[in-house]
Amino acid sequence: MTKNLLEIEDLHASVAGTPILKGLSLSIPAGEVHALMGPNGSGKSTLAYVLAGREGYEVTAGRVRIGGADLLGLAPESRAHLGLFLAFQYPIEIPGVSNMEFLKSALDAHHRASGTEPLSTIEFMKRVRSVAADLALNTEFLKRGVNEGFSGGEKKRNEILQLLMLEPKVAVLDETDSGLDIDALKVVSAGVNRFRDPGRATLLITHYQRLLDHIVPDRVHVLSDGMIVRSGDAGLARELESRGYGWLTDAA
Amino acid sequence: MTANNDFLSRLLEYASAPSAADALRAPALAELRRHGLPDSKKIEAFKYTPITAYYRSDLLTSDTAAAPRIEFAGGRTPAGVTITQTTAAAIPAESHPLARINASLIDSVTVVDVAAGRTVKETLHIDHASSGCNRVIVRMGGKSRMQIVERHARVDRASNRVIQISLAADARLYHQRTEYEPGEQSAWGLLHATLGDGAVYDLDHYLCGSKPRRADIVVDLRGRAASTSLTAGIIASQAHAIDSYVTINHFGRDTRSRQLVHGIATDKGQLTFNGRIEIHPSAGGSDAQLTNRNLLLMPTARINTKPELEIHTRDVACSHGATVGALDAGQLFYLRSRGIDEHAARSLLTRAFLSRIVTEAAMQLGVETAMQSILEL
Repeated sequence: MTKNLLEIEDLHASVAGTPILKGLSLSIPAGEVHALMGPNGSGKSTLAYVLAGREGYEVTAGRVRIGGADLLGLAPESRAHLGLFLAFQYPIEIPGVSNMEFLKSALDAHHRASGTEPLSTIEFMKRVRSVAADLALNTEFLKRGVNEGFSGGEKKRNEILQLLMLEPKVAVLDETDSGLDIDALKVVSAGVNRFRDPGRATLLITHYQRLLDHIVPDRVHVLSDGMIVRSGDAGLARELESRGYGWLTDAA
Repeated sequence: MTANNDFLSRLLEYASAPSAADALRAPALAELRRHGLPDSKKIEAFKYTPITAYYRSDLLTSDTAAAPRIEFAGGRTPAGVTITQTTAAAIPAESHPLARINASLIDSVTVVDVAAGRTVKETLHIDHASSGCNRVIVRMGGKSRMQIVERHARVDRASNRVIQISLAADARLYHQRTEYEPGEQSAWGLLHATLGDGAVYDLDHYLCGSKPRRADIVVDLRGRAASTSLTAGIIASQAHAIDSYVTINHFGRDTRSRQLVHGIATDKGQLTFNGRIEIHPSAGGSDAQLTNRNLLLMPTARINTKPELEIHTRDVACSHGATVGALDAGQLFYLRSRGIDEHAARSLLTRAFLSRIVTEAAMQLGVETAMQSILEL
């Protein structure tokens, strides 16, 4: 029996009083990568923010579990400690906080929460350098402010760097492919493929088939008007690429 | 009789008693007799903390005159510099009423002279070890260079301090001034710098509130192409109040000023920043910039900011802006989504806001750490 790492059941959520998610259910077993596709406005990014616990995203019904533990109602940091990671569609710039300080603080916080020994500064540096090198990120960037003055591609690679450093159980990647040129897309995809592991689950939120050429999903779900209207294998993404969303969303 | 008239009559009585400093005090006493002391209601510049808060009778005690400790690192005064304690100096008059109080209560003036052409490598330390009144005059000769680190100690009773700085042509002075030891007494200070042709004055100023504290800074860019920069960090915490009142006067042609001021208010702190730039008719070709950013950490705190720009000539480049805001919700969420708890995330962002006004020179002297400890970051 496969264990679901992420379980979303009948999730309803509103933003500023407007219902966006209207009964979304989705489960990802350990070891699998699922893609969530859908037209603009279908609720993809809302789902990402609801999962991460952003203020202003109000859950009105349903439940979400990570590794069997209830997620909703927890503070954003507690969700991260439980094993959730959201790669932001638009990573935030934080001038004055260096990437290094940020990563170390985040990693230390995870160790504190799990009661494990934090990495020494030397171990931390060694690891961050090695992960950064895999993502073709110059170590000079570690000294810069978080995402400060980064190009779109650098910001997305920085999200993947955090993903690989924090090693969550469940990763939600919100349009990590948007704004990437083909070389950056390959680097980011390689990073996500490295993250694939029998003990982890990944939800790729994307608008295009392009990313799925590099990261082949186990399942593909189509979101329309706040609900999953179709699920299938990787072939579904290719079908969407040639036929568009109309044949599914109109039917719904 | 109003409170300030009462204070004035006691001040005049006290300061008129015969003293070795009679000659020093006489002009200021005459001015006080003629003009009196203003009422808080009459002065726009004292809108938030009334000027009467600085009319303190504990200034009128025998140990009020407290000259600062002034010495160079290592204890030896380098060649080309003289430090004199004098009662004979003709001190440049200041029209500020609180400066008149200062001039009528000091019993000496400390004068630092730097000879023309001299580059002083050692740092001059000015330590205001005790409360009370004092006055320092720093005179930099043409093309001389020096750096000053000035510290104001904990305020255990009222203080009133004036420092007057003059830079002759092409002189350069770096001045770091810290007034962040929290106190429970009123503190007032005036820093007045006057710059000649091509002189450069860089001031890093870090201060926190007291009950209350006010820092008046006036920089007169008299000479052609004189230039000044002010980098400041201001903190109002607990139930303290801090008023920072900066005036940059552009008199000379092609003069330049830069101000970067970050303020933080928390708890029941009250922070006021008034940044005034005046470009006089003679100051064509001048360039002035003021950036004031303020962080309101709690709704119980208060921030008043007022950038003022007055331009009396054409052909100038000026910009000024002030913002007041809370910590950025998007940045907080981003940090928390990475497992950093709310308290730590707020602390990281506040430190980041501060770090942007801590210059490298100030960092080396522990300014950042000191400011973080005031805010308990």
